[in-house]
Amino acid sequence: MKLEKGIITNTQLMFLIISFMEFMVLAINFVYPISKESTWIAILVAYALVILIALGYTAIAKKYPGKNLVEINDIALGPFIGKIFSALYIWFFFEYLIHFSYYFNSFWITYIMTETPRIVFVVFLMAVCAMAVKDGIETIARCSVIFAILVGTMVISIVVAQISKMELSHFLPILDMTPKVFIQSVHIILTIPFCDIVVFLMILPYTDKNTQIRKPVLLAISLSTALMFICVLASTAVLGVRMGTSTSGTFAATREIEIAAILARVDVLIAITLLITIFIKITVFYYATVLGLAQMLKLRSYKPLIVPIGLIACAISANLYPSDMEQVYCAQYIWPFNASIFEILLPAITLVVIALQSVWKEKGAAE
Amino acid sequence: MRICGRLLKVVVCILLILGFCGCWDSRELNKLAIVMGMGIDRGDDPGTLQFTAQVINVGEIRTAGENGGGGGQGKGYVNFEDTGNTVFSTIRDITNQSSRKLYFAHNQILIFGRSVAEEGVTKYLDFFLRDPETRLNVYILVAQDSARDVLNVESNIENIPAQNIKSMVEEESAFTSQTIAVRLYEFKDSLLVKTKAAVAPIVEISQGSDGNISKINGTAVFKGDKLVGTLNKTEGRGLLWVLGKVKSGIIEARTPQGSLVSMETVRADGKFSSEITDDGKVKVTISIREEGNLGEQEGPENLSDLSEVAYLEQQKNNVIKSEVMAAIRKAQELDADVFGFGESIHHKYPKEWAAMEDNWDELFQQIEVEVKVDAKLRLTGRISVPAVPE
Repeated sequence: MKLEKGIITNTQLMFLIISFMEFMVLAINFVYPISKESTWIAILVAYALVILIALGYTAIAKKYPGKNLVEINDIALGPFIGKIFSALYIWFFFEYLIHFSYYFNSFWITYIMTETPRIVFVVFLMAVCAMAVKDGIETIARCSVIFAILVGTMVISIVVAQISKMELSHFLPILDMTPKVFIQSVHIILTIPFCDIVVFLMILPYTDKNTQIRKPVLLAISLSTALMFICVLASTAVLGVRMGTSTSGTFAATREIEIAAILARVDVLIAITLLITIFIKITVFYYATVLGLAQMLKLRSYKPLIVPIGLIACAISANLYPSDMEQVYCAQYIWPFNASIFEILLPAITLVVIALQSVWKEKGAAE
Repeated sequence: MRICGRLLKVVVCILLILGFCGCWDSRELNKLAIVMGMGIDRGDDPGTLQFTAQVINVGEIRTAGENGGGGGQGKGYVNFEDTGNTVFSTIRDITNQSSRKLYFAHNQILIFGRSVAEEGVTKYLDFFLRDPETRLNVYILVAQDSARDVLNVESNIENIPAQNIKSMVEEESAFTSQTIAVRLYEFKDSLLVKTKAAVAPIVEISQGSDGNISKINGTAVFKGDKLVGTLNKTEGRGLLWVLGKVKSGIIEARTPQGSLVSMETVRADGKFSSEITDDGKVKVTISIREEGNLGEQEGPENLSDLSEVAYLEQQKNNVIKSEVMAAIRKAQELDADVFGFGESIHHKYPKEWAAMEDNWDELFQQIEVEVKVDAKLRLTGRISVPAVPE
């Protein structure tokens, strides 16, 4: 039985992925203290890798058109191991949901409203996301078209406004670091902003052209990487050595915009952009969690799960880390390895099993 | 039922609007003490600091306007002072004497008293970089003596001394270019690079026709985060030529007959490139382009003659070159790389730099400098020859 009756077009899928990835365009801060002014090279390397990985994801989805990750697991790996895999994935999506909500809220209370308790933002944000999840994938995808264009325009105009503050010498020296540090930086970029698109395995079957998903996925990754690339280049050119000390590079660079003493303090634009993009990010993870859970538990609708999952997410993400320093440490040293299991190892196992099965089938047919 | 549903939607909308007022962080205008300038000096007890915050006295400014420019009723500002161990605690202590909490988003200048500048400024800067309310585009200045006194000198034109100093810094750097206008983020940039010396304009109190006036005079040079010396006006402009920050200014030169001519700089651009020579020394090539007009002449000679123009351009070259060399000599004397030559070597030779970084101080002393100036004289103004009988 189908839990999600909505159908989105492939173009909407592309915009959904773009606006999904746009959040990290602005929030890619964990790597700045590590790879500093050479972050842009790390992004290029990570981009090359993510294209390969995304081809793997789309290969899995194309093998079973109309089936999402939970159903694919059941068919490909058998009911028992498949269930374990599905449970792990759903836990992973839920983890991302609470981490992103924590991350966004700490940004908000560091820069904009310092005295407001975290729980206020968490509750407001989660309430809006729950409404979107309740309306289903079609509504989310339609929002994302507007948001992707809005955020893209905003980022480009902020970058244009920064041009007068840019200095090309800030890029030098290129790659002034040890290979280990560089690999760490690539790993973080690969796992946090890029490979979380593994969650789209839950959404790909609801497109109208199930077999032609490779093009929108790769195009969306390329476009949002281009945007991220421009953004990081601009922040580097503006900030230079100050990049490593700031808790939010893009925000700090935007703060320095001053055009004729009139157009200043536009940093709040970045905050609004973040607010828009975090909505898509959290909604997609929220949706994947409740839908996956409902399918695993064989419910007739995923809607009864929205409120309980939302409440649990609120409670956990408001108290996720004792301090922000711990969150940054986690993002730099723990999360990339945790995420690698779910984003690279598990899909790789699934892909290998699918490949072996088709080889066996051919053998069986031949015999 | 449908009416109930609609009512619910309206109620939800109203509840969401409540969230827009800023929650816990809402602060209304009548609760803000808008800080325009800040000064930090050393306190009387060792290890303490004295903080001065200049706050707009909104009521007084309005009265002055209503009385048709009478002005003299009261000061347009209030200075709050307090002493403490750290910047943040001292700032908070000011709540004990002010009915409104200080609000920093409109702050214009941050002045370090000479005493704290000599002792090191990093520890005082941290708060201004970390706090969400403070802005990074405030101007950094060093007071010749104490910052507190500078903020107490009333200006005859502006209502608020801090506004006056800020405008002076901007006008000075735009029209005379003898000292650099440094914003907090630029200052932080210099502090973050180990070999680069930070600079900031100096503000001093001098005797005017009626009472004291504050005045921008010279450039303070920091080594690490400690004040080590100053550049005078000539050396200050030398520094700006090298950095390419000269916007305008007057260059005085002599004609072949010995009378003085002043020429205005309209456009200027400067850059430098550095290289390591074969014998391991550092060579810096500075190239400066300058364009300007004839602004004034003392003598009776006809300067619009082409050979005279070429001569004056040569004179201008020499003046610029001598200013640049004066700045370099002073920097070497203070052993402070105000230009960022070291950083350009770092950018160009990252491998060699690792060995050079620690003894950059000695290398900077032996630096080889080549200055190339290309000065042009474009216009003569409204008259081409002086108003004297031939």
